[in-house]
Amino acid sequence: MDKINNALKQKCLSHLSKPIQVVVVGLLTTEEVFNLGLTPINGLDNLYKGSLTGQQILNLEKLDAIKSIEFDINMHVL
Amino acid sequence: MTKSQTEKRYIVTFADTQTSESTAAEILNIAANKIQDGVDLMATDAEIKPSDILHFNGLGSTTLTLSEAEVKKYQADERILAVEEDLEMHILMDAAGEWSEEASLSAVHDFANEDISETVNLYYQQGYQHGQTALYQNLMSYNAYPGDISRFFPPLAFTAQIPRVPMALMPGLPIKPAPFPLPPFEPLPVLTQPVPWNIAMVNAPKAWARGYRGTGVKVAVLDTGIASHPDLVISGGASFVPGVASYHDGHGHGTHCAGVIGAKNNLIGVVGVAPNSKVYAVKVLNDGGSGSTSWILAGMAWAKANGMHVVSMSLGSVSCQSLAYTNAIAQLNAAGVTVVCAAGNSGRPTSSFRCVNSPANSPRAIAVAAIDANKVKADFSSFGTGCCPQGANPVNISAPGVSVNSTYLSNGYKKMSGTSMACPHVAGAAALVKQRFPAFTPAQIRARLLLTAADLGVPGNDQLYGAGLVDCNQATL
Repeated sequence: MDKINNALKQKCLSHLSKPIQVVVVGLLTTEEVFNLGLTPINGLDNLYKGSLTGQQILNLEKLDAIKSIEFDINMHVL
Repeated sequence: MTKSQTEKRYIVTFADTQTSESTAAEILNIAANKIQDGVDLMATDAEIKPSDILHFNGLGSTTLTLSEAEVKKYQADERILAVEEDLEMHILMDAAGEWSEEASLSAVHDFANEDISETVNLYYQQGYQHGQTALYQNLMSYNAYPGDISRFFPPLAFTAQIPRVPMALMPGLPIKPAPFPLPPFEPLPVLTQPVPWNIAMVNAPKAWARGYRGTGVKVAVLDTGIASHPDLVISGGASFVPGVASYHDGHGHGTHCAGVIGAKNNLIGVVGVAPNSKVYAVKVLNDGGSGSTSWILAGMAWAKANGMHVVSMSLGSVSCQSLAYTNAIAQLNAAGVTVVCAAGNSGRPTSSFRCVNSPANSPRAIAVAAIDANKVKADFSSFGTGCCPQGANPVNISAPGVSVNSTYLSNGYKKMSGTSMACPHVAGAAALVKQRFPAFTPAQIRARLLLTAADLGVPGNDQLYGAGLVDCNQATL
């Protein structure tokens, strides 16, 4: 599975300097989490959220420790 | 005859049950300081003297010694409902100190010897039924009662336990007609909890009959919150909607789902699949019915940290499998939390994404499709195998999800449709399985539910119904 799906990649390219809400799955140290501007989801390991620019997301994708970057999409009642 | 010989102890019952000591003194025309609190005095070892006047607050009655003239005077007072002799009462036990049918029958035989058995029997039965009706109505009108009133009503028509005395047991006794025409004897309907069709369809009552009602199992409802409701007990919860501290439901969806899982078995409204389970409100969707993935992940973390056994997630989006949810569900499973998700409502032919929605399409989630009362897949219910991406979790199991009546806002009930309604049926079933097999892991609970489901559609597992209709009875055998 790609780390970033096509829709997010397109959004990043068109929002290089604009913030995008994302959820990140990765094996990061506390320092890396802080430096990357992410916030841990307390109680769940390796899951983080953040508001990153398109460029930051594209840079993040290159890190081996990152497994997935997804839109922090809205869910709805079914 | 002296005055003391003509005086007896009487109970004066006032028309107003809230009559206070001072008002009682005024009505009885006695000094207020002569009246004592009956409960206080009788709680001590003090002997009641003939001169004592005892008032029982909250009952609206006073006991005191009266002459016949005083009795007549009080009986004529409109503020007084009744003046009755303070009779000695006896327990109905046999010599061994235990109730027995023979002892009870012999007591009735004594009445029979006075030629009033027929009338007494009728009065007794009618009085008993009127009392039962009044008690029931009082309990039903007490909407704010937060608990399970089934404790007051054992799960049976207990009228059946009252020994009825067939006249054949009193042969040869003369039967006197009643002194005045009695109203026709109309047996009261047996008081039972209405069981909605959907709860019956998943065979939950059969599991309850064997003692599996979700007792001791914690179920978190990740939804719009849960509103207070006389048919629900909310055991706790949290809100992960930014700026909203309370897990109160302002939408109605979460309250509906909570009722399908754990509405109480209490003679009113509806009953859930696991009426004894502990239901927790985890508000991850706002009152408009939507919420970010990060809020939902935070709610899942709460469920893991707070020892939930089952999580019910009647939410989703038309998107491909998410590694974030897959990761989170795996962590909850490892912590002993079974995760049940609605499959999605995008199954109609007009939809561009008819596959199972996220997060139900994550592996290890239990994806639930919706069927109607005829056990046919609801047209909206998402389906498919191997889509988005290849190997994504398909529909695993089915449950009722069309016109399901359940708890709603403002202490009401509402019929709703969606895989949202199907999901909590399976969450409730998972709670029953957890009670039946406490050592089961989430993977074992999942397997148990799927292996015991009643096959629907084409034989075997299929992309519309998964393993078939969840069966609480088979799953808890």
